[in-house]
Amino acid sequence: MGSRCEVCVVGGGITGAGIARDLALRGVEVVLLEKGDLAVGSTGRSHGLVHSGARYAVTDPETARQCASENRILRKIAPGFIHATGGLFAGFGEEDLSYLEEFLKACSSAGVEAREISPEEALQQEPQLNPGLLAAVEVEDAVADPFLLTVANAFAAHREGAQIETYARVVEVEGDRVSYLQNGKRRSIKAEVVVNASGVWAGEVAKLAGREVEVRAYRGTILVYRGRAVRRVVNHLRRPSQGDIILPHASTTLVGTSFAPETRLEKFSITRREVELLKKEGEAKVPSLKRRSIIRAYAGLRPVVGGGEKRGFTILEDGNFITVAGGKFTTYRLMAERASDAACRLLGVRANCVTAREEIVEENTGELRSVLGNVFDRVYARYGPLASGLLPYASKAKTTCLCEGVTEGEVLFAAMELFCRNIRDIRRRTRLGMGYCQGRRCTLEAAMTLFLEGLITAPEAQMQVVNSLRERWKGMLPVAEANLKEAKLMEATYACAGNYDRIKRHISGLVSFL
Amino acid sequence: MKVVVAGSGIAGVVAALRARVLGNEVVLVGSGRSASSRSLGVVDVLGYMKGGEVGNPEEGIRVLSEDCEEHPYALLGVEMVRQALEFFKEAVAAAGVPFMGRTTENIHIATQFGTVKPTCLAPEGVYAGRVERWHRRAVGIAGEEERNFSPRFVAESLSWLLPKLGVALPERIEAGDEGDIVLRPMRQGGTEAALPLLGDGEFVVKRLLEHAAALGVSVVEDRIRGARIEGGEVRAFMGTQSYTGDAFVLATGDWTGGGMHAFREAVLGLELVERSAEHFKKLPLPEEGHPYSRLGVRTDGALNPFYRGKKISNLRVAGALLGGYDYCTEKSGWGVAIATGYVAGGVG
Repeated sequence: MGSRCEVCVVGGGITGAGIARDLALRGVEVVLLEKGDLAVGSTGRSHGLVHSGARYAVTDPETARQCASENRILRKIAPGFIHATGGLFAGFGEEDLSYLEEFLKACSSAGVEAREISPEEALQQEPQLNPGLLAAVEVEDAVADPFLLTVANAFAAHREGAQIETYARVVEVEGDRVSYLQNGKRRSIKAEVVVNASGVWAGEVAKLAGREVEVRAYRGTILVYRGRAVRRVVNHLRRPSQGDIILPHASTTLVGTSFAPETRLEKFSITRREVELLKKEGEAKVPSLKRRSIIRAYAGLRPVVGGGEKRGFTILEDGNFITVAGGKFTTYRLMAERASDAACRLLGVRANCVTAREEIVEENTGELRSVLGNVFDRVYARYGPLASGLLPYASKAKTTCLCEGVTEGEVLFAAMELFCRNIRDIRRRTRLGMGYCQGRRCTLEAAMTLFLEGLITAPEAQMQVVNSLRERWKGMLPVAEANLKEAKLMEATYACAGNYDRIKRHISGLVSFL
Repeated sequence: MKVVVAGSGIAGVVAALRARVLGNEVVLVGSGRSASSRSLGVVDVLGYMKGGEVGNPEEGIRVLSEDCEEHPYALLGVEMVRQALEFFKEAVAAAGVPFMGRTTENIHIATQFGTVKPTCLAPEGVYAGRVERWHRRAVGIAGEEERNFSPRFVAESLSWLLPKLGVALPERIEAGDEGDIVLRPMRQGGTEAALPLLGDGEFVVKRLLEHAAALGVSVVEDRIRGARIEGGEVRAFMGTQSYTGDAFVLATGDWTGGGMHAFREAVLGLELVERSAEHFKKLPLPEEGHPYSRLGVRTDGALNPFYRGKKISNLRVAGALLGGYDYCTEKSGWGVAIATGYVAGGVG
């Protein structure tokens, strides 16, 4: 595409990637610019819950309706990426019980499927639940990996001709020219329409274009426990509060979230109180969490527009500059549809949106299944239909990440095919280093794999190691007191044996790109 | 006397050997993986201090003792540390894993991480492969690629790193078995010049345990979970059975081996050194170390700990369970473990 396109999408989270795909499927020339890696903003910091809508039925029926409808669509277009775990709303005390009737009525009128079941049945299906359960309602919650779903959208967009640029930070939007920094160089691209899909940064990006958009950010913290304590999404049957949600995610259990206004878009921190609150709420619903170790904690920012704390979205148009503001992970496709409709109107493009019925990535994993044998299930659970791209790398079966079972082949597949620029990007796609040891045992191995394949030099590999450790520590820090053994092992391995505490001064400052 | 040692990492083994050699009846009770078993199996005595890298560990310990009163080396004094390391050298030689090196001179070794670290005493092959000997020579890094080890990676990383460190400048470093000095992992048969890998420590500890058993130490596989205290003295360590004795050594390690749990000493709840307000630094692997790493059991100069305000005179603490130091940033792990183990076993 070179230096011009029809639409420049700013922001490579789930919404931006969804817009790129939507427009590409309509034959529009798209360039997506993301300042970091795909989905490292709010998208990657969400818990990946694909809402049934039940949570919002009482307090925000419009969002509930959208969630219910989009949930059904996502299951259809993204099988393999959406894990249809189902969900449960669980009530434990008199107060929760008194919410039940209102809840069921609201679900019904919002078109959210909700089926009351007996506490006995609920405990049978979900044995780890607090046996003091008094009421239970089944809903159609599902779970997705936000990184994978975003990559899948970007992959599909790219296949239809879109250009995806990561580590490309927009610095100016002047008329039809978008200027950005990438690899330390200033580049620019001509775009007839600019779509601002930068989430909590929407206000900042709008400013670069001389426009004004107001977005407020609310911080949500999530605790990551080792092991899967629940089979489905468990919600607290009550008016939406903090610590309502427990869900299974890969080899872990997530407990979330908190809701606190946040003024800093970068370098915001998790408070001890949030961690304590989430621990209390999680353990009250699933008592066995008390015995599990908390691997890490992380927080993300929700972009909120309009009054109050509602999670709806808005499309704002100002000349050729379109902003899609607010919203939720669950409703990204609809947000992308509306934003794309607006862009197409401006361009005079008549094609309709097809994303509600086209599968994001076609299922084509037959050959891979026969090559991988019984490893296939784990690989498919991880990458969904994207897994078929693993085929050329499948022979490299050596295990790199022991906690999550990630193979050398997967590391290379991600590096070569899934828009990766460094190990952290690879980690987000493969879950390398995201298990309980938090990369202690595989950080070096992964860097070495890339080096041995000739993708990076040895000093770049060292930089990867140091940066990976820095990121892992960021997540371990809020819960380090509960996990001193892992913290100590990390120091023993990399400081005592590796001497990285002294060597790292020679390593920082190197730029690493695949 | 009957001496019971809890913990079969390097500190516990040295304590048991010392106590046995002095003529005591010794029981060594340990279980599970220790930090020692995951380690490189070299003796870091003192690699770094506040001022920077240490060239002469004995000199470093002298300076440290003046600055840092609660450091285990300060409690023991340099003379005792030297004696302990001599004892260790004799023991490993007898156990079939002779170590080389002088306590007045640090060496540098290459690691599987493609980095270089200072250490003091090392098995013969590792000592022979030290970086000081690489100057102007052709160095080969040989061996089979295995998990977390690649000769090619080590060679290229060191080619880039060594000029920055100024330790030695080899003529070239290449993967392969050609060169004036060819390093091969010990566990892959490297004898003449060897590269230690994580986990080699297990081999050293195992040999010492066998040696201890051959000398008559009773080595028991069990986990000590509590202790019986009467009249200000320990009467027994409690595992799946009761281990009674006259003198006791607690060498159960830090969080790695389970000697420390959260902010408590796991067996008895012994008093710890003063806790700092902030336990962790924002960034990982800080040069000055995380404050929590210095946390451990408080003792007097004879390594006797305190329990509910009172000193327990027939109990001594050795190894990583001690507070007042940070082996990860100082590079003092096995040095402190051996020195305090030696002193702790010095009864009867």
